[in-house]
Amino acid sequence: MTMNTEIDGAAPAVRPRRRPLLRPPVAKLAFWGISAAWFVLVIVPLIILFVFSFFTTEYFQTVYTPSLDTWTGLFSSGRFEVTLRTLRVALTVTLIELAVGFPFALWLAKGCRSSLGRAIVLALLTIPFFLDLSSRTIVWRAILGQGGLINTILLSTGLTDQPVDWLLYSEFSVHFGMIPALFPPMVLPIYMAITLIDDNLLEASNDLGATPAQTLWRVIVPLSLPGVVAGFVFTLGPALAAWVEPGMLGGGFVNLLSSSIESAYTALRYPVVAALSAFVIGLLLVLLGLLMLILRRFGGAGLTLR
Amino acid sequence: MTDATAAHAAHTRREISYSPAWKALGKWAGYLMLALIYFPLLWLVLLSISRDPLSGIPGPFSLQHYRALFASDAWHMPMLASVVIGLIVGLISAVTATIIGRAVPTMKRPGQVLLMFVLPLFVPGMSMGAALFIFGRSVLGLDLGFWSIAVGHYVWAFPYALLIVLVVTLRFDRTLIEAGRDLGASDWQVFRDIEFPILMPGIVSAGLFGFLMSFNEVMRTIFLRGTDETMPVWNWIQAAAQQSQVPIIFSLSSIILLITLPLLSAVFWLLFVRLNRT
Amino acid sequence: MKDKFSTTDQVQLTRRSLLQSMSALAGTAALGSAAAMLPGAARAADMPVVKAYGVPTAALKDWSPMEASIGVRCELSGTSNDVGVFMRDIMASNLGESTDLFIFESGTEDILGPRGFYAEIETDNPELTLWDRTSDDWKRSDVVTDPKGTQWGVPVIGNADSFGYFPAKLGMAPDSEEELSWSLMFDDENTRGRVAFGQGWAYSFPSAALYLKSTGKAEIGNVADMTGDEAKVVADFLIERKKAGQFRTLYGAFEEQIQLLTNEEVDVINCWEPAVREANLVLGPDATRYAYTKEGYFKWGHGAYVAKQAMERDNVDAIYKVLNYFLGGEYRALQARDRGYAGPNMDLGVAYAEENGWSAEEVAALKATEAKVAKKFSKPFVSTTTPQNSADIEDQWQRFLNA
Repeated sequence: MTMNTEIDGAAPAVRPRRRPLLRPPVAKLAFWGISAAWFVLVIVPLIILFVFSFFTTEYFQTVYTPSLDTWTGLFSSGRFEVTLRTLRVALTVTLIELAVGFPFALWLAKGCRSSLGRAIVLALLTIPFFLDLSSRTIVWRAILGQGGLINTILLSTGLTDQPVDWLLYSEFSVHFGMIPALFPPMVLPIYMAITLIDDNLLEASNDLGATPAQTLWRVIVPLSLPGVVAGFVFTLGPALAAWVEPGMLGGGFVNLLSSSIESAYTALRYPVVAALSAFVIGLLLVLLGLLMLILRRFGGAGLTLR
Repeated sequence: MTDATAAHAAHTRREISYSPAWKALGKWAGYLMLALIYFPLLWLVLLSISRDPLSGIPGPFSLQHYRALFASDAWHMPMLASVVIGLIVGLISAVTATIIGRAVPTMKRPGQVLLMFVLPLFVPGMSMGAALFIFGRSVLGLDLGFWSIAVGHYVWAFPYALLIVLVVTLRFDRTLIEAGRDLGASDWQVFRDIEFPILMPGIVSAGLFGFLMSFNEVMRTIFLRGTDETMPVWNWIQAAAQQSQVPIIFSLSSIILLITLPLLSAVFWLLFVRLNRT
Repeated sequence: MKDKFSTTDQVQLTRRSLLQSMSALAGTAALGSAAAMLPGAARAADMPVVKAYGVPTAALKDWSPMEASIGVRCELSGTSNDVGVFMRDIMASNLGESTDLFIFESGTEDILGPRGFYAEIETDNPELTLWDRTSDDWKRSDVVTDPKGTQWGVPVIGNADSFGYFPAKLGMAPDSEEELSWSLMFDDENTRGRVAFGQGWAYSFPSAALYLKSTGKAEIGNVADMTGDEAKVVADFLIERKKAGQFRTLYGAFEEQIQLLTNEEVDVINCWEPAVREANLVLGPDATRYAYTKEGYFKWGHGAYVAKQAMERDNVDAIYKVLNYFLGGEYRALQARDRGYAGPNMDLGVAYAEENGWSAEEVAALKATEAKVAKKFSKPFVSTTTPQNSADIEDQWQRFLNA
């Protein structure tokens, strides 16, 4: 109102014309432009890759004769197990991250009073992205190994008389290596979502007699769901592609997707790369579909996506 | 009797619910994670000043790897390339994610569009690299190089940027825009004065994530680099050299750690000061 | 074998830093009246350039000795030792249009030669003066020729790989040169649970096949190039040993080799020879040894191959000068000193070291390398990165990893 009165009478006559001309085209054109570019950059290459899964490789050369050999080979050699194992490990890690990350994000967003402390924690969560993952992971080997720090302590204190050997080169150590590495991508989006919740809402909930547990389940969790979904996806994606941790800490006994793809690529087996990728993407889409159904039941569709 | 027990039980539940232990648990579990992240990093710093870092046990100490690092300029170009590509990818991710992120909440059926945009999150790095390589090189016959590395990184970073922006835009109250328009503000004014300040943390985080996802990316880069080198690819190549391993990477990581810690703390602190004011 | 988790690294002077240091030298020279340095520095700027692409193992720590010797500058852009990536870059990316030389482990010439990516070596090229004196063991080996015998490359370096071990833990004299059996890797009760085995099929599968073949436990034609059925037999054996707990770990990278040895996490490991040297730097001389074996070795070599398109460019002379340099004494001596790797014309390397006033120890080490290689190279087998049935072999290896 005040703005209108300040501007002289001619302006309102211009504005109705300007809005349809300027607003929809720029934003809409940009949207469709980006979508089209994205389709070309992502969807088309993936379709081409998928088509490759119906070819075969002979002596480092792709044979462009359609066949199902690659797919049948995937199952007859037991290679598809790699995808199931990868999904199992990735989901376990993601759920652990969620269990630890959500309370921490909640504390960081609403419980931590010092803005400097918060800034430092956020910086601490961001810095690991800058640093070479392999040099961070290799350190654990010196600590978890048979002659490593932990076993030395266990042996010298007499807690065990044999070195504990499942600490390294086992599924345990792979999970152990992945969990710290994937903690930040879980915490950061949840933290963002929770900071956006108005403190007045929480106070209102408290004033109306809700216990903290009720406030958590009925206010905070539903309102932070977009962040939780984002965190879940951010963690699951890299966990599926984990390459450094299983390679360095798994001792070759935890054969996951990326290593298997890499091994196929040394023989330039594009079709195997394609089939493995297609298989895991397919499994994931099924999984995501289920997740969406559950979310819809749980929180109502309006909360995740309008 | 039963009523009394029930009431008592409810009361205990309430007390458990109010217990400050929960808050402490969330806090300390998170701190434990941070410790697990930073313990190897500190160990790494110790190793970087050790004479034989590959044994994994610190000491005896020496600065020889730092001297080697500064004596060599072989890593300068790859480092520069990684930083520049990261900045470009971060900037483009932030801008495009803002455009898409503002459009999605107004759509009637955003599911499919969203799925299309986040799909690369679920495609293993090597598969995406191979797919882009086949498409760009074998199908279109393009010469690969820094530009294709940037494209590959963008495809990887954008879904992160988008989801971060969505966290903010999904909760953005659109009546504010209507209010702004009713008050006679132009669309650009509405965006600049109303939307942007509210979306800002998301947009900045999106750019930051874009940079970070690009900076350490190696699996896609291997496919898309032509013969150009980024920092992680340089490391990847050097490991095949079968030579006396002078782990100047440890030294480099230590330096990056010591530079980024205060820098990022300052950035986040500034963001908060600004946020608190608005 | 893959070196994927790179954390370590060598210090390598690039061309640019080299030029910088040379011009800096030139600067001081001009100031300090050592005018003789100037023409050299000026020459460095307009030397003919040879562009190479390949694994940096073949690179010198510093190329300046070569520039001083033959007046050619080499620009090497590196790749890892993943044969898939390497072949893709040459086949699909037409690297030959910008690159003169390719340097890689044996095998690629069988495919890239006949398919028209490599040019045949002109053995009578006037710049290739050392060709005739090079022994057929090197120059006619499978590393640089294809099965039909066409000469696609020039040998650069090579070694006979076996396994590293701790003599003390296996009850052997530290200086023993006794030939050991590969059973220590695969089949020995004393080493069960104390063995590290490489995770890559191309490096580890053939060694297991060699053991089975030479002990008569399986019938295998060519261990370096098995059929799918032969690979299945070997995979079955390895799965059985894996389930029996023979392997402590299947390692992935060079740093892991060094770490496993220096931490004494395992007693036996099929690794690269430099890993043993690195470990001994920490553990003391001869704490670990690189085995002489009864059955044979994973013999590998790096070849230098000329891009087909390069033969139509105007730096062919420079390319052949570099090829010839790879056969010469200076390169041989420097590679043997820095990595312990051998190559053709070891005698020239020894002669070079003696003429250039290397210490007696360094000369002795060179001679030891020469003797070691002569002893090892008489046994089977020559490896290849490109077995005919790579797809089947890779499938079987995955079966082993998943079992």
